Amino acid sequence: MSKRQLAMVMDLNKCIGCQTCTVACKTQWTNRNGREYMYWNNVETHPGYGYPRNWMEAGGGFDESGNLRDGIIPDMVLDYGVPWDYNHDELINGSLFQAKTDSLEWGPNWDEDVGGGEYPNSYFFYIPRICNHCSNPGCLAACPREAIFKREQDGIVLVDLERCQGYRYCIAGCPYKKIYFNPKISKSEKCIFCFPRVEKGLPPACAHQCVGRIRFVGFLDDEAGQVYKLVHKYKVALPLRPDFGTQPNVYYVPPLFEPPKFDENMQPVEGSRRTPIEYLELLFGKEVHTALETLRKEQEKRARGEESELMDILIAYSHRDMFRLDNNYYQQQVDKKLKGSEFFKVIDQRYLQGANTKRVEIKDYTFHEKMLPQKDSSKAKHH
Amino acid sequence: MKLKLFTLGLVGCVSLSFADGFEEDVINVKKTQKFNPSALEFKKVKVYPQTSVSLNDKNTKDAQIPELEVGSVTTGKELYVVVKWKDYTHSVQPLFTTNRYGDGISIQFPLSYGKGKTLPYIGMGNEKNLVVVYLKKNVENRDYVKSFISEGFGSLTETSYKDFSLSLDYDKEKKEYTAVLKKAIKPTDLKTGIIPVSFAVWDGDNGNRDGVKNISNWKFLKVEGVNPDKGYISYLSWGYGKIGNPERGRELLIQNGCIGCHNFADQKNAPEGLAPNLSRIGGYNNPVYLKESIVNPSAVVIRNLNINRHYDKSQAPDKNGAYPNNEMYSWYTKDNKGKKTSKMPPYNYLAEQDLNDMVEYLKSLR
Ligand code: SF4
Ligand code: SF4
Repeated sequence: MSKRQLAMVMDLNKCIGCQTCTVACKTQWTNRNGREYMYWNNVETHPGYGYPRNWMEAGGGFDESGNLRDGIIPDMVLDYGVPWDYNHDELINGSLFQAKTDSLEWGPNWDEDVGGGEYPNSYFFYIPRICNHCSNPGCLAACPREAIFKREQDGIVLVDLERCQGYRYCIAGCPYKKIYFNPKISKSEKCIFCFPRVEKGLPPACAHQCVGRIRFVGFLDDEAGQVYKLVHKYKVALPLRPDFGTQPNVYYVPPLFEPPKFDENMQPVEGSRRTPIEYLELLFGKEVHTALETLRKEQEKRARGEESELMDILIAYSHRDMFRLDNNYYQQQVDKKLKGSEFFKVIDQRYLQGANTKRVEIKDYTFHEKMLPQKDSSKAKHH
Repeated sequence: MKLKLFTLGLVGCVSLSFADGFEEDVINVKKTQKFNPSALEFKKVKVYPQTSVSLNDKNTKDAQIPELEVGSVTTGKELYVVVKWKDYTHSVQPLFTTNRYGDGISIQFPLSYGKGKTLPYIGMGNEKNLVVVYLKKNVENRDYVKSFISEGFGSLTETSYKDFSLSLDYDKEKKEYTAVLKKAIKPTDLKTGIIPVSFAVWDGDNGNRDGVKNISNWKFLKVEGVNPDKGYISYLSWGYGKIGNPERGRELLIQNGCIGCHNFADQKNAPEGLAPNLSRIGGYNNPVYLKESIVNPSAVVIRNLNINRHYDKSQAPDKNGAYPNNEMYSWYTKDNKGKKTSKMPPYNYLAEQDLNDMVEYLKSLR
């Protein structure tokens, strides 16, 4: 659909679940204006319900034959979860420590670190999730107003807020539930892959801030880039739930490293795996076997003191190599097509202007009040 | 001389008599000095769930609103259309939820109508025949009133019209909505004597929004004291009353292969989305449109839902893994000048009675 495609690779072996990415995104984009409940970037524990709760069961995406599947729209309180406060201020008066809410049923990261398995063989890993800027986006397909578009120059999927009427079929259509309804403006909004940063040669905030240095950003066709190497050359980075059929462009290096199982005598069982391979297969498809195999082999190679380009990439030595955005590319696009003027306009303006939108004037939403048939006072006048 | 006077008298006094059944779709518009609700003469207007296209939210249900009551008056400068209906659940789209919706109403008019004009497609117009849509939705903290110009679904473009108002009030005791549309008109707007209008209502409680709504067919506002063009009336009123044998019509639809693309009643073998679903087609379309869409499907080319809903896995994906759209699901072809042709072949060779029987059956699908 797009000429080029930006992609992100996340190495799940190194994510420590610190949520720095989540906070980076929130402070940059979603702490205001009706987006408060949204986490365009979230980090969830697997196995687990995820965010929004049970998103993998919420429908959307495409069936085997390439037809959009029906889906649902998660509930703000029950599925996304609303934060609450504790009564810290009252503790000094001798009150019991309590949450200030009457519905403590669910919240973002409610099941953090719960995972699966039983002590002493429990296991979990984190999956950070952003919009996958899919090659066949379910959100885009579902929109009856064709308000969602995929940028030609980098495949970033955006909502044209002028066309969006808040119908929310996009949310049902996205199998990752990574597009959200903003009730304040009654329109849908989503991760924008920090395009205003990307156009300046900076990676998205979540990737830039990542403490574990797990995120790589670049164009999928840039053969010298680390993203290309992880996805296409070594094939160790895999899309999440490829069976959802949207061809996602966030790729994950599956979790290989974990402590061994313990037997009844609390002795480590050599060569054992805690995380069931079936679960990894569910998440990343059958390719997970070869990906794990490649990772293991390359790791052993490195352990023997041999060269391994793959291991060097995954060590993530330098941001310069991890993020290959080539802002000259964007600059050239500007020079070629957009004549320099439109492309770098103020961020929020650009966000409002989509592929389909003709500019319309800002409307005065109060004008009709002045025109309504006058209530009681004017009736009295007529008599 | 005498004779001439006599004919003049006829024109002045005798109201037009309409074809069988057409009267039911006519709403009389009285002329009054000022808006006076008691002058309204209400007419029942049936509304049916839109099923031509189906949207992808599992949790939506059909609205529980079978009919509206519509009355209309004009002052010569303004046209008032008052719509009342029962809704047992008063729904307002709240400020802090993601999956709740407000009730709403829209009233649409063709952008142009009268002698020599055809009716726009009921689903918010078509490219050659635009409509103006007035919309009011219950949204917390906002007075959500908008007007749009549209050339078919998905094409609504907001206008900045300021010459109308649309109010919506809910009577909690009677469980009844009353919507009042007041719109400025020019004297020429009344000249045709007949103004087509249609209605849509949304039941927020059942997840209604956008295409999930109950809609009417085209109704006709008949302006008091103006005799409409006879040709226009005979165009609009084609096919009312009983014009054929519905059972035979049903057989003909099957024999002619319509069921290869369209689903209706117990015929459900066509892939969903390949062509409009006809299950309630007779409820929200006028007979003349049903005829025309058989004889000349390209006269009104209907947009399908977003073509990206279906992709073609038999084709190779591009270098980014994207499959091309499945063109099978596109309802029309486009030539290089952008002219659209419906993929449905014209059935213009049918015998008149066959056509009438088919229309008669389609009319019964509601
Ligand atoms: S992840 Fe969801 S919101 Fe993002 S592009 Fe894909 S379908 Fe759309
Ligand atoms: S900042 Fe990096 S390490 Fe921390 S949770 Fe996010 S992805 Fe994981």
